[in-house]
Amino acid sequence: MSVNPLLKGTVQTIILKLLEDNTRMYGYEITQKVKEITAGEIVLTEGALYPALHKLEGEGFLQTSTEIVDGRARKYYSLTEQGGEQVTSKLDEARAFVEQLQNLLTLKPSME
Amino acid sequence: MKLTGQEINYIDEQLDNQNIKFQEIYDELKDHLVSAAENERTNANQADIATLYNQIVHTQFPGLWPFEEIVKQYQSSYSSKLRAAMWRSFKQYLTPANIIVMGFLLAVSFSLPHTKPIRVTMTAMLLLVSVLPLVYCYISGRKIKTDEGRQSFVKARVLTTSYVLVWLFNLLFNGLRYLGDVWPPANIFQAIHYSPAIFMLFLELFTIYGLCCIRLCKQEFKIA
Repeated sequence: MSVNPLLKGTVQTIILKLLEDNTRMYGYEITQKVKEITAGEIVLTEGALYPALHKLEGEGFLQTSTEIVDGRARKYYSLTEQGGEQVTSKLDEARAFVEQLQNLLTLKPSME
Repeated sequence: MKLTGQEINYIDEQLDNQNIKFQEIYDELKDHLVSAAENERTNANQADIATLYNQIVHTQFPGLWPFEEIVKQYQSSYSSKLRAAMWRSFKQYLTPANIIVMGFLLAVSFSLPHTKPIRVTMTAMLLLVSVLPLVYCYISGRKIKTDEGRQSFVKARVLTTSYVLVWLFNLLFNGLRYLGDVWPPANIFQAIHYSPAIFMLFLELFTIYGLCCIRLCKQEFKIA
């Protein structure tokens, strides 16, 4: 189990994608989902998660609703219409980046 | 597995020591920590709550002041969210039809006499338009409950946004008057010299801003 520093630039993309698939989620649920999907290989720290969630909310990509669950307030995040559009472009960006990274890392020196 | 009341109180006490004064952030962090502790217990972690709390904070909120950055980020993100919401509302109210009505009222105001009754009436209307959004937000914000010693960041920011009109009114009718007293050229900015058209312009802009505040208040207090 590790906190992957390579994740830094992709936390927002991960959040948007998870919310696209799950309609609405709360903070802890997001971290658990990431852990579950990656079989515990990637841990999203809360120090990175909440600032990213709040930033996305501030930019109008996420909306929130609060419910009382087991006697305590729970804040759920879901995508706004603008956030839904943002998912596609963020995923395209991430895919392009991974592709470029693969090209770079598998590059063999020229024999000429 | 659910935590006992005593264990939840322990988490409350620990969070109190972190001096988180805003209810919304406190609630979110508390829910996270309690959910994490419950999950650990479900996974057969039978450590006492103090050890469990330290384990969770150590792994999930690393650092000496683990919540400080989250609190800071929340404040700046929420402020930019409010600014964006106000700007959106402003654009919605500035429709072509509203602009035509505003232009018409402004044109009519040019024909009003520059007399004391007109000035007094328009000042009273301006005062009313300045105060109403603040009163509305204050009354509707009373439904937001907070723990003792904590305040709602949402309520504080929305009230501050609504207070801008009262602040501007005070600036126009008191601040600039005093400025004129100490620096005679500033006399022209005193409200007593404003023509009815200037009053009308302020009235229109204040009304739009006030409506934006009321809309913001409805939207944000519903979420909070």
